[in-house]
Amino acid sequence: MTSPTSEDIEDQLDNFIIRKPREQVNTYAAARKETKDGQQIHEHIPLLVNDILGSSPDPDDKGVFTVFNPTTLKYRTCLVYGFVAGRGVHNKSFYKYIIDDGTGTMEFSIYVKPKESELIKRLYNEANSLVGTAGLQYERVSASMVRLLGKALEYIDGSVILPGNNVLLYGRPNRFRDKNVFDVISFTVDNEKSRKLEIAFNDNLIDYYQSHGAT
Amino acid sequence: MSDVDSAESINDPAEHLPKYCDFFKHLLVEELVLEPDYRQIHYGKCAVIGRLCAIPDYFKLENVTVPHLPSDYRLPTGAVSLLLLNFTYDSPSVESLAHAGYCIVRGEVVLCNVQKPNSPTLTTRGLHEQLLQLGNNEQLRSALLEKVQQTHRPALSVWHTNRIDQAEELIQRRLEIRLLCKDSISWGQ
Repeated sequence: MTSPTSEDIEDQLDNFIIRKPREQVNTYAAARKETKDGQQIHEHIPLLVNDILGSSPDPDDKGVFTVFNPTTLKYRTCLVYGFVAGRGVHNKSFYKYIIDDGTGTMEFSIYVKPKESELIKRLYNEANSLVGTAGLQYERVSASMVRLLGKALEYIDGSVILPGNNVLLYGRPNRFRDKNVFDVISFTVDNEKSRKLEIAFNDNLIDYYQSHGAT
Repeated sequence: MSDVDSAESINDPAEHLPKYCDFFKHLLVEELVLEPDYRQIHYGKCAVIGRLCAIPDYFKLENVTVPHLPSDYRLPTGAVSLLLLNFTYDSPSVESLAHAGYCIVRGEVVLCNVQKPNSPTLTTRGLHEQLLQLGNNEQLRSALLEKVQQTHRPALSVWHTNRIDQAEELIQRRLEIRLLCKDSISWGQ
């Protein structure tokens, strides 16, 4: 009793199974440096909050924005320095705060990195337990491990930011409900009295604006 | 923002009232203290850099010399001072501040009645509204302005303070940034 159809079970199965197209493998593609019409896309440019709020998304290239001050140019990522004026509504994946640099206010969100912070916390605890117990020869190594890991945690844990702090942010603008918000890629908290970071950033920004100013 | 809105509201006197500044604009102590026309005083939030001056009864914020201004406009540090309201050493945001320490003070500008302490404060907008109620009566309007200018002084209702070291350096850069930003406003509209 061998019918020709039962031999090829796959043909039979095809009637019952909907084959989904295999998900396309995300291959790494370097961020393009030019838009489709050949304009340069800038990265890491220092900007004022007011100008980030005023920039508009490029319709053809995702993630690319056009800024109009100091001059009209396309950019993907930028740097901004300011005062944390308040907290937004945190959620499971993002810490949200308000940044104010004296030219405007904007919400920024920092992605919660659960895996990274858990890993670093574990290593931190491990190093910490070594400080007292391991012999003298490891004492200094483990102490500096603790310091390093503690510092590393500061740079990835967005919950350490408090209203009233000053932050330097690197990230990209994002259009959300007709308003520009800021997705942070990395950040530094600057609470030193000297404000060396703020002064240095401002110098850089003033230079940049003046050298690109529309004349 | 759009053309339609501005055309419709042109006859509405409320449109001419100052708009609340919802970000901490960088201002100088001098700009708030030396403005003779109270209608022109900043309305809303601001951040002011100065030197803290503790007098037994109250706190003041003194101006800091801006080294890059032309000498005619340059005031020595401590020449003028701005009254601080709601400021105490106990508030949690005050970190190791002391008399004659440089700091950034953030808060809201108000007009404070210095003759009657603890009376309600006025804002620039409140002043505009009171003037608006008087209609076109020029005499009453100038009388009110004069009275307010006698009794009230600009003051800063403090929300937050940060201690800093290099006040002059920061002031200079913040002034330059205000210039950069001004360009964009005139350019964009």
